[in-house]
Order: sequence, then C-alpha cells, then structure tokens
Amino acid sequence: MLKIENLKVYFKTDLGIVKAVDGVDLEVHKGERFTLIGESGSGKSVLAISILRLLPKNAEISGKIVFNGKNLLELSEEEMRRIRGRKIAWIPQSQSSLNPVLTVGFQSAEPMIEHLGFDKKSAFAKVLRIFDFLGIGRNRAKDYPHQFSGGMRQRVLVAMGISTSPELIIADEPTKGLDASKRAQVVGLFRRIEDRTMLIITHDLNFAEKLADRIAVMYCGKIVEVSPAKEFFNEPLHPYSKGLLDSLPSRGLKPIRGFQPSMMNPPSGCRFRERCEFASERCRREPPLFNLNGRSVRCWLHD
Amino acid sequence: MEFAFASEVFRSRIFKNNLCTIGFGIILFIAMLGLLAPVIADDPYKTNLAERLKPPSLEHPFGTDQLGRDLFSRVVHGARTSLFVAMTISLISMAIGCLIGAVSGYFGGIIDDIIGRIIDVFLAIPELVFNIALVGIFCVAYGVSTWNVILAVVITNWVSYARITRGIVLSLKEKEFVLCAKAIGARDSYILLRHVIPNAIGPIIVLATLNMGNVIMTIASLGFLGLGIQPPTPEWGQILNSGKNYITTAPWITFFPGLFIALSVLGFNLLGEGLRDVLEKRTLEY
Repeated sequence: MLKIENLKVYFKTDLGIVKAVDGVDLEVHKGERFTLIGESGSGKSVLAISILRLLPKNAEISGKIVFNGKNLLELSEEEMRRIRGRKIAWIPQSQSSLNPVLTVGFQSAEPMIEHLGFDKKSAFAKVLRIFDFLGIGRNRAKDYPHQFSGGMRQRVLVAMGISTSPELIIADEPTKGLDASKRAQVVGLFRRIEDRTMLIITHDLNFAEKLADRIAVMYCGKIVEVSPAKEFFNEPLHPYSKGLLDSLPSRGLKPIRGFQPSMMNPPSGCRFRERCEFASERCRREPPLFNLNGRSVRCWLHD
Repeated sequence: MEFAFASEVFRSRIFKNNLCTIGFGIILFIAMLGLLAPVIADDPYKTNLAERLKPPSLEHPFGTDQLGRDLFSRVVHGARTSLFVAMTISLISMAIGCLIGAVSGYFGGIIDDIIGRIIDVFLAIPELVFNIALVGIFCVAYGVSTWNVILAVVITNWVSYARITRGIVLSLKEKEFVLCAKAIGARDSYILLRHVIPNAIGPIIVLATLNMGNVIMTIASLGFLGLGIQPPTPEWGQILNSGKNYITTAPWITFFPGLFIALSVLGFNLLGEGLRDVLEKRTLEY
C-alpha cells in the first residue's frame, strides 16, 4: 500500500548538506503495524513528514513514495492536500501539536469537516463517540488543550488521526515524553485501533515490541534491517540492532560505544563500521540490503 | 488561551490589575456620559446669545460658549462623536492591518517583501502631516464629511497593526499545531484565519487599546486644525479651536474639552498597559 523507493531528503544549511534520509527503501503492507525504530536524529521523523510532503522549504527530496499506485512526489499541492488527513493521517509528537485557542473537540472534528463534508454538528457528534471509544470521555470535548495532561493530549491526537478512517496512519513518537504507566496506556490505545494500517515511528523499543508486526531499523539516514517483530527481538541480524537491544535495561544495559556520526559527512561504506565490533576491511565498501528469507539486512556479515 | 477571555479566571485577572481597573473605569465613565447624553444633557445645538460666555454654574456646569450653547451638553455629546469615530477607525484598521500583516508573515517570500516596503513607506511619513494631506484630498474629491476623517486616519493607522501581526505570525507559523493543521489537509486560508490569527489576538487587543488613545488624539488634532469633524457637530478638538480666542476671558471653553481628551487618552493607555501586563504574563506562564 505504501512503497518507498530510494528516498533521499537533503537539507541545505549554511554549514553544508545534511543527508537526513539517504536512500531508503521500504514497504508497508495493508493491515500491518510497521514500526520504524532508531536513535534521535537518525532521520525517522523526517521520513514520516516527507511522506506527507510537509518538509520545510530548504529540503530537497528525490526518489519515489508510491501510495496506492500513485507517486506522491508527483502530485499537485491540491491533490496532496486531499490525501493529508483523509487517506494518510499523521499523529504528531505530543505536547504542542494542538492549537491552544481551540477546543479539543473542534480540532478533532476538523478533518471530518474538511474532507468528508460533515457539518459541524454531525462531526462533533462523531467526535463524542470517538472520545468515548478512546477513553477521553465525551464531557471533555469542550475543554482546551491546556486542561489536558500529556497522555490525554496524545489520545486527542489519535482521535484526530482516526476520525476520517484513513487508510494509513503515521504515528510519530507516540510515547515521547510520557512516563512508564502512560506508555502502557498508549499501547492500549493503539491496540484499540489495531485494525488499521500504521507506520509507527519510535525510539522506544519496549513500545515497538508490544505493537509491531514488522520492524525496520534506521541508522544515519539508512535502513539497516527489516524483520518481523518476533524474529527481530529474538535474533537481531544487524550489529546495530543487536547493540540497540543490548542497551535495554532488561537485556544488560550495555550501551553502543561511540557516537552517532554527523549527518553532514557520514563515514564511507557502512555507516556503522566505526562503532561496530565486527567491522573489517570489507566494511569500507557500502553493503547492499541482503535478503534472508523474509528479512533484510544491510551488513556484510550476512553476505 | 485567549478564549479564556470569557472565563471567570481571566476576568478576575484583569480586574486584579490596578492599571486595568482604573483605565477601564475612566473609559466606562466617559462612555456612559456619551451614551446617556440625550438624557442628562440639553440640546448641544441650542444657541442663546443672552447667555454667552457664562462661567460654570449650577445651570451650566461647564459654562457656556461664545454662542451661548451649554458646554456640558457639547462636551458630553462630543464624547459620542469621538468614541464612535475612534472605534470605527480602530476596527477598520485592525481588520485591514491584521489581514495584511498575517498574509505577509505567513506566506513570506516576495509578498512579504512588497508589503514590508509599503509598510516602511507609510512609517517614514509623519502621521499627522499625512492625515492633513489626505483629508484635504478627500474634501476636494468627495466634499466635507466625517468619513473623510475616518478614511484618512485608517490609511495611516493600519500599518501598526500589520507590523505587529506580521511579527507574531512569523513566530506562530513555525509552531507544531500549524504543521498539524497542514497534516490534516487544511487550506492555508483556513489555517491563517482559524489557527494562526486567533493565537495572535492577545497582543492585537493590547495594541488596539493603546491605539484608541492615539486615534482620539489624532481626531482631536484634526478637529483643532479645522480639518476634522465640522461644526456644528460637537467634537472636542473643534470646541477647543473655537474656544482658543476666548482663552483669557472664558478659559472653561478650552478647559473642559481638553480635560476630556486627556482623560480618555489616559484611560485607554492605562487599560492598554494593564492588559499588556495581564496578557504577557499569561503567555509566559503557558
């Protein structure tokens, strides 16, 4: 349903070109929860925003983003506007994504008024049902965002996202800034809407483990591994994936040595090689994405 | 948060601020005098040459002018003229200025450059001189009317609204909720009117209040120069003008309209300053 081919997003800055997304290929199938994980700054949020074509003006984008057979990068702005919020919904990172001067009920009704031709009354009636469904409570629809906690705001954003029954939901770091018990609630929240196709972006591995059908790992603007979730957590293929899992408290709290390289001039060849314990001479050449029965990995170890 | 204007919390915040309360009191007082003018005052147009240039007394609390008209009636009816004209000017220039400023800030690029230069040109010309010239042109073109004054002041006055709104919108458009509104497929015009401008309303209200004082001054200045609202309609600046020849023999003709000009400007400035304290403190807390 969503196929991204060789997507590159470069930002021109005064200091040089930042290659936030550098040749990403991935495919999200209908009905699955596809999760993209990676450290902060690995380019995963940029990837999400580029699907909706809402990048800032200094971004250069190339490649293909094919959604239901149409390349989104070739659509006109008006055609794109009809897809946003209708076919592809974006659930932004929490906190300040709600307008402080409008009621949460109104903001959740907006997509339906805009795309489905609902009048205010019927849109609001549907919002009340969604609020009940998501556990926000219909009596809070006339409240303003500052009257809500972070977790509740997250729910409102989800309500906004699902109100038009979009074909694809992109959730950008839905657990960002929430504490452990709230994270569990968000998991419950996403389970309630699990019949939908979702692209979840997160750096929260526990969250990913609970929700994902398939997992893609992004490092330095590139996808380094794509695996079904169970196999990924049992036996990660890429050394970076292993490192990520080992750095979890439940798995020994061993951090990956070194730092993520600058996105302006990443190392040649494999971008992880300077931090990798298995690095060898052949890692100076860039590894392709190897396919291993349903999984793919960008590492010479699996040649 | 500006919608909280209606809420009890917000109202109590405004009246906890002394500047606000005093300013609001003064404006309310003058506005009530203006509203009740037909009830509490006589006909401001009735001349009585036998009673001309009488000092304040029980019968004529503010005295009478050179044509024997009751000055209290003229000053109180003048409040109606001044406040009504000033309010009209403020509202029209606010609407025009905010829209132009918001478009300029939101879309940026060449639109912003063009509007920015136009604003610079308007700011470079002294306001009152520009107003006098405009009133002159309009009088020749359309004949004498109150709308000449309104139009002339609006033309110089929208600029400050545009400048302020542009600045606020420049910072607001980078906010996440604007991106979020784009992501649900809203049109730019909708985002601007529904999401961006309501968030800018606080500083705009402050500006509008402070600006009311300026506008009242400008109207009075034009009136004093004989270019504003024409006699016999009572208007403070114009009463001042007619009283200046008698300033040594009948100072009350100039004193009372002058007092009311000063009071109303003071009232709006105090309220504006107070609102600024309340609204900006509020923004910081949020």
